[in-house]
Amino acid sequence: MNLRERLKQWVRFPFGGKPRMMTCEELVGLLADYLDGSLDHETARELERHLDGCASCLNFIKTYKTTTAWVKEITYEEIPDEFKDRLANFLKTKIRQEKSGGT
Amino acid sequence: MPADWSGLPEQKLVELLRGGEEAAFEALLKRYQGKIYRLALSVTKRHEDAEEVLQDVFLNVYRKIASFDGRSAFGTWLYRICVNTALMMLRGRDPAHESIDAYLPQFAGGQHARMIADWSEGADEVILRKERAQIVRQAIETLPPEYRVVLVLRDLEGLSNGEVAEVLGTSVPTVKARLHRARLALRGRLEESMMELRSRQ
Repeated sequence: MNLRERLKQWVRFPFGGKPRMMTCEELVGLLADYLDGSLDHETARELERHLDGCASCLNFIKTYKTTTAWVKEITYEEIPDEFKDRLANFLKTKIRQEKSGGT
Repeated sequence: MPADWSGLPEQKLVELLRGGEEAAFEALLKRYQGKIYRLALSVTKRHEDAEEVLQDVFLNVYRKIASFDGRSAFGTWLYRICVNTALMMLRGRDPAHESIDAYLPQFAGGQHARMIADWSEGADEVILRKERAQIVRQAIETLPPEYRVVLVLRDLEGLSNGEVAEVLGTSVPTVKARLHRARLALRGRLEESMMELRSRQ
């Protein structure tokens, strides 16, 4: 390798080993965009490279997705019937009052 | 007897209501009261409050229908009135929430501060689905209202980021950021609950 190539190599990989990897913190920050597919291709590839070697981040993604899936499963209770009746009566009375110029 | 207009398209009903047809109001009320109730309940957490919110919301719809310009969908407009009314009710009343920061992931030098385990694997053997739903619901309730609203509109009501932004009068990036933080905080809470359940077994 000539000097020029060695210099280029050093700029890309300043401390010998590998190119700078995305950190766990960066990955978590990009997670929402990654999962909804709005991350650019290159960054997504980088994120996947990180995932290949990081069990914690892999487990983080799994549990993040599970969280959303569990949220979507919840059902809130239906509006009670007596509640509907009270609401309809309240509105009828109010509207009638307003129409007749009362308060 | 007023005509049964329950089958008419929403836009037509709104037009009729603007023209002063009360039966159109009734049809819109029937169509939306269930959704608005769920939304009000998920924000306020109390039935009495949700009932009060619903009364205010629909009375306001009746009073303000003339100012509804049709630029957004009627449903979006209705959600916006509901969210504003519910948040206003909570203002100054909701007990101080603990900061969600404690449940956000912790890092040291860019790395996870501790090993993350997959507590979701085999969850059905650790906890019944019904109990799980209860834990999730409680975790959602501990979120500060502005996070809870985004999560409910997005994940439970199924609105898009754009629709949520319109309801809240904010931008799509703000909605996305808030939703992400809400999910991170929820994940942290569920992690705590699930790890505790697992350690007991």
